[in-house]
Amino acid sequence: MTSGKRWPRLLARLASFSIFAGLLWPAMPSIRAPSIVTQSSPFIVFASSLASREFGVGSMVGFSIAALALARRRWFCRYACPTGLLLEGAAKIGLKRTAWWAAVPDIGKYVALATFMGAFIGYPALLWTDPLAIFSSAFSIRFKAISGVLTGFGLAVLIILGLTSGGLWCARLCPLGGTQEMLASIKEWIEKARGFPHVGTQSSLAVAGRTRIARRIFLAGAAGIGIGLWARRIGERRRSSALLRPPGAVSEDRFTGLCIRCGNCIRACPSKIIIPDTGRAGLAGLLAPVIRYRGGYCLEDCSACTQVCPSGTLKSLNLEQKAKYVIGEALMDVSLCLLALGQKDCDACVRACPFDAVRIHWDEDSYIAYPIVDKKRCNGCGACELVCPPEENKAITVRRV
Amino acid sequence: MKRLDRLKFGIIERNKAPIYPTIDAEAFKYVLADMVLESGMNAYLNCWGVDAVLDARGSVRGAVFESKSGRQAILADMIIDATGDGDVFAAAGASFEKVKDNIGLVSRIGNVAIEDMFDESPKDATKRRDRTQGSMPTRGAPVSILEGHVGSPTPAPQVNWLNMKGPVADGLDVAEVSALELKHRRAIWNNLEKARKRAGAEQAYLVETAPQMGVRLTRLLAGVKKLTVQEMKSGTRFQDVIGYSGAYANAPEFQIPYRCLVPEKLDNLLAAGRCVSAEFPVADTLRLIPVCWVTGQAAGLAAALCVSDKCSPRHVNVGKLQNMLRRQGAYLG
Repeated sequence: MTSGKRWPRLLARLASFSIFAGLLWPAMPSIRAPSIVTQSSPFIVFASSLASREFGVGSMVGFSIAALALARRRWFCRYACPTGLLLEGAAKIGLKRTAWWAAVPDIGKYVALATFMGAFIGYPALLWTDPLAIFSSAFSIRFKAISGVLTGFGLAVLIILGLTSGGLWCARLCPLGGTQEMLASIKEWIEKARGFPHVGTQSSLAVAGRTRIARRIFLAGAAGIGIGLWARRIGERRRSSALLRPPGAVSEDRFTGLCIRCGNCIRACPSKIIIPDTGRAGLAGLLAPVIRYRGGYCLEDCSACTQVCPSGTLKSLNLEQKAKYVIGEALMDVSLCLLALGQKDCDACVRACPFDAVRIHWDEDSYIAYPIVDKKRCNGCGACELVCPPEENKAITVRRV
Repeated sequence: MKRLDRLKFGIIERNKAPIYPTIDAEAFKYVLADMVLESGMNAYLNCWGVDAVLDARGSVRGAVFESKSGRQAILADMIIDATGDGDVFAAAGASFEKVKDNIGLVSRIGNVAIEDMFDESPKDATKRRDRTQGSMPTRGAPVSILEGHVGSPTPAPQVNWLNMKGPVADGLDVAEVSALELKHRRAIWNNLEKARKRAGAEQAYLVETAPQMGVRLTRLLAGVKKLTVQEMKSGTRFQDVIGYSGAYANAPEFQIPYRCLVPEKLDNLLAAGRCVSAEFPVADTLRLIPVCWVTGQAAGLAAALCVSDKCSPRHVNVGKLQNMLRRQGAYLG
């Protein structure tokens, strides 16, 4: 590339990086702004639209970028990808600048393909490998807890890859790059179909290459479907676990596949109760959002997390819908209750409940009082769990039911 | 509280919110006696306020009480009804709301060597959780019959305080409260016998039951202002604030306006303590001991102002009252 072309491209990339970073910056006034970052990825909008069978308005950004990628191969990588810019910078100061990976097949394309096939059955297993989701996730880093630090794990891995292996990720592994490659291939295929029929003109080498590619495509598609089916089965089993998902969450069997780990919900939550899972839902659920009622509860006048999910993992809910959405159910372990044990005249859970779902019951037979939860009123907001005095071993906890 | 802090075995669990402090009842009685004696005031103990003396205009001019000396009355420029049940303002004809609340009977158990759950190490806590394994949380039904409670530690070594919530009852119905008290006493003894089967409580004995039943709320004054739940939750600020309640559960601390102590119509009387004017859930917080101190202090100063400024409670110079409160260290925001 000539220096004449390099500077405009670099400026475009820096401008794009600033825009993406700005959209993710906490001070951004619009709550939906961070969603635009991940909705710019054709990989994400294709797979999540397929998986959820819905096409959100926000997805139009990604579809527009995809349309441009049809016309110009990997233009997003060259001019707009913020992760790519970071990795290119890392590669420049890194250890290896030789392209040893040139012989590596375009794995990103097959990752994208496997994800799209998985999306057909509702579980786009590798959607979280999108570079924009990884970039977005890094903005959720909090240094107070391991889970908070882990949100930057994906980007850290990519930067290490950039430092040690140059452009391996961008050129061979990135599924967003792979998606753009596929889009460009469609254009080529159309052009060839129009101008060059190829009938009886293919060399045996070309046929062998095509067979190999067809095999890879088949294997990638089969893997996507296989992983999807397996993961959904595991998720189905976890449905009754104590794991709480944010409001509006799709069913557990699809959740870990559809969630791209972008961290938007984590950042949007004013109570800071949404945290990345560090493995309670198994490997498939790693870094997907879970709720933990420490330091806050799910506020009755807030549905922010449901407004910012770019992949449809959390359905958009208004306040009325969110109040009715059942995150879990508050359940009592009376053997830990300070009131029932006669230790304190505590009724914190009753007072804290915004829905009047908890009341004190006097049991004449056992001559003790203890809180009772009205299942019909409780949506599992966690206000009661938050105020239950013991730090550990809380008597009232929200469980998934 | 500072006086209690200075006493050996006076108070524990200080500044451990959301757990509130536990004081030794005898230490507190000593502190109160000391304060009364220091002030030089005349105090009549063991008296029941039973009636009010009204003048021709219907203003309260005195309180009637009964004691070992028989029925007596004290005439005063200002009356403060701190009976808890609003006995004086009710007798004087003030409007009020009658409510029912849980009535229990607390007790203290001695010779208990079982640690409090808040003092145990995380390791111990895990062990305790292990013991309850299999007892899946429920929607309120007891997972096991919880028998032999030993309560929680008090400042006195090896003496525990045992709470009892009790059933909802009418605290103004002597027959109901008497029947309940007898049942409570029997239950407390039965519990003690079961507690003795627990390791560390084999030699436990009943130190005392409370001198009075734990009546929580009965009459709520219809005041110039009724403090509402909405105002409590939203933290409404009042021009005539005379103090704050403490924060509890998810509710932040909230302001208490002076008008809650002033009867809607009745003159020359102020209410203090759990019977001030508020909606039931608000009163359920105002009834807590430290908040009763807040309204009590404000009512006392307001009464003094009424006398010195020769005005009725509803015409008190609130700014002056607030300045006096601030000078005494009250927090008004």
